[in-house]
Amino acid sequence: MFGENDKISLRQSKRVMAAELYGKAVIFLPLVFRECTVAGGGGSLLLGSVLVLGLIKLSMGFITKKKKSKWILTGIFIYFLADGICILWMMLKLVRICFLPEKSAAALLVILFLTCFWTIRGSIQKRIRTGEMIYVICLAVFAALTVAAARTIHLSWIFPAVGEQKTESVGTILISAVGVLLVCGNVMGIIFLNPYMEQKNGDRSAELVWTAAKEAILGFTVSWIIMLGNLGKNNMKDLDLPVVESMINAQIPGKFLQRWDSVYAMFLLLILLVAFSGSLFYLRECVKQMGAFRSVEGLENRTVEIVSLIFFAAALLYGNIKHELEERSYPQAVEVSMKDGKLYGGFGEHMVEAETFQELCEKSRNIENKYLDTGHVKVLLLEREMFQDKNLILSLFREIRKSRVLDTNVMILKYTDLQGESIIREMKKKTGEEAGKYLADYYENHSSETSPLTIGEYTEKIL
Amino acid sequence: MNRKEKKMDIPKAENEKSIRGSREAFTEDLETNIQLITKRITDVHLQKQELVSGRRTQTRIVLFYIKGVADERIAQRVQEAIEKIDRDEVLDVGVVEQLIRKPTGTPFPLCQATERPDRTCQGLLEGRIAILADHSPDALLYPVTIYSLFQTSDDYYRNFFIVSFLRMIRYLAAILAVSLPAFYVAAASFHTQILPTKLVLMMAKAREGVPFPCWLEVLLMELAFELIREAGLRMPGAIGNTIGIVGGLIVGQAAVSANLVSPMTVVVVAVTALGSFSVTNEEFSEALRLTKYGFLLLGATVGLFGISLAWYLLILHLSELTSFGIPFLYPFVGGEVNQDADLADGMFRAPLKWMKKRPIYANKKNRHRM
Repeated sequence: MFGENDKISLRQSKRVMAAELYGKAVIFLPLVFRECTVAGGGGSLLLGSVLVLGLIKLSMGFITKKKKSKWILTGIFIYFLADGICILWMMLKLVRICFLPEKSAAALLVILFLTCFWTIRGSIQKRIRTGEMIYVICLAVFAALTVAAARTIHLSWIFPAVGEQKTESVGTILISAVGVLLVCGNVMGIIFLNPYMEQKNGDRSAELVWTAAKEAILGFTVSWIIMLGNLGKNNMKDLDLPVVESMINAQIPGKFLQRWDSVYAMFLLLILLVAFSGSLFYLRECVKQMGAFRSVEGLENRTVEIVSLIFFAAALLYGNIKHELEERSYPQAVEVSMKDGKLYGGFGEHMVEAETFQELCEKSRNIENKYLDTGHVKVLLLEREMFQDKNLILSLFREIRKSRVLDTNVMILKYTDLQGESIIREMKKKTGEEAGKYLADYYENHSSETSPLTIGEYTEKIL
Repeated sequence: MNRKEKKMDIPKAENEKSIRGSREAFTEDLETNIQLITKRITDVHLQKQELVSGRRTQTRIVLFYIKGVADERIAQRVQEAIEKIDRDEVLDVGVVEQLIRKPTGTPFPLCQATERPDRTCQGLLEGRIAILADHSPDALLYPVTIYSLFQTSDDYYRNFFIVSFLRMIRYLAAILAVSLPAFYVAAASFHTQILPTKLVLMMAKAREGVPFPCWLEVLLMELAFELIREAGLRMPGAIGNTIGIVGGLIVGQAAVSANLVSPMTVVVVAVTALGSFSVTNEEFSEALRLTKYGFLLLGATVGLFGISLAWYLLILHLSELTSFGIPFLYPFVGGEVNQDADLADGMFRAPLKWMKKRPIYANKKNRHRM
């Protein structure tokens, strides 16, 4: 029966190969294009695609060749090792900034170990079917994201006005194109899929790689549009991990779920997990073909299984969140001004002094009776005079975005200094309502008034 | 006289109710059950193989399939698996199912148990193999794929728009049954920012005074619900139904009044229960109920990250399963083997006129319906 023969069909292999390339593109391309403008990025993508397809065409004979030299296999091993490490690093970074900003890495590492173990255990069919399922689900989500992103792309990004035009050097374009080529290096995996493929009408793996690469390049373009739409053309240069930020900044109109970022990040994590499982699989197969170890089956024995389960139990016993819903306070506004060269502000109840915005939040958190949940802040009130110092504002917004204490759709409002008094407290006295709620409702109900810029929009403008 | 009496003896389907179509269910008499099938399928190619299993019980087991429609390799494998059974007792077809299933380490059903003769006949006409046993009011259909566990017999008697909509509801129900409590705990404990501020404030207010952490509150309510369900199932007739309704209402209301749980938790547990009831196959629904606790633990430990991992591990596990050589996740994976024709009867149902191909498990040479 086809479900048990440990063989994969050509179409199945092609689909997985294309999906893997697309998955990798979602993860790596934003990093590759971070230095490029829209036109430059487009050029790099085009050049990279030509390079990829050209190289595949040239290496058709090599792909179908049964015996590969040890040196080539070592090169491929290094590629997939680097690939796996990059994906793992991204996964940890995503979890750290999107899911568990307050927890230690212990539980996380244990769970990741367990996932890796379960991933490489079992037949090739398991891996291929998991990839087929997860990629299809995630691609649907990403397609929806593309539509959402497309509406925020301005034509002026592609055709900037005279004087605003920026050009990058040929070197940057070339480096980005090589980046595209490196991402596509994943097609080398075909060497390890080949022995598992049903080859009824001769070896068609080279043809398969060619078609998969063409489909994947289309996917790259889609990822790039998503990134542009969600981040804006200028923001990418400043980011450590653009794909993660791109997911975080994705916004969907409507308020059923106020911030969808964590939900999107769930899908990104699934892609990362499948991509990581792919790297692990290719590494294992590469080791097998190199004959470096007689067998790597030892990894799959029962002892490891038991140890994994013990680790898993330990992760579960590690504990739960420390702050229940009722033990939190939900400020909806934050104010910041300058006092003696330091930041001065808070979330309403207490005012604190700090060197950085993050420190200001930490200090406020320590003073408050309840745990400060900054996820519901709607308004950032900044003292008017702060805007005169461009560098100060620039570093403040860079820090706000990096620390992720506030969401990107938080409105920015200017206020005049009240001689050390808290504007939030004053407003509460006057209106009887929480300042953030009052201001957010005000702008929602007065549609004739121009809405203030959000952190995301303002950052896009100044960076 | 016999004919009239036998008709009276046939019970109504209790566990697989339908809006349209036959109400008949299998009885505990094998001969009657065989007649219920042969009166529906009069094809001369309908094969009936009688086997005996159980050293001391000598239980008669009947294997049905339609020659030329079913894949005979599968029929052969099922027959061999039954013949290999070497036990003292085979008192029910459920025992056969347990003994021939591979792999054993999964809570998910690898066959479809049905009490309905019309569902069994539908399966046979699709190329599946049915197993009946003496003293057993259920038939087993092999092989099984995930999508067949979301189908009901009256899916084919009704308008395809309605059926497609209902199927989507069932899939959604399955997702809710598995991950809603975990999602609630993750959102309330780790990711409050995804919920609207008004809702968070309302939830926080409702939780004032509740002595348990959110995850324990949900876990306790889920376990209380399992108790009510189990008690209702074991109680005789009308009392069982009463226990289900009264128990649910009283325990929920009393727990909220006593500040043991918040009203939101009751809502979440109730919606989860509704979700699991909406899954048409009982064994599958039970497996999802069990999986839910794994999701809950991971969601409570590491939030949405845990839920992502749980889904990943669940898909990994389901990817491994096969039912007599057919992948459990088919046609969502490997659908191209049958030119994706099975998707026409998967998450959506195409008009009957368009469903010209039999599913993947039918005989390869005879996949076109007449």
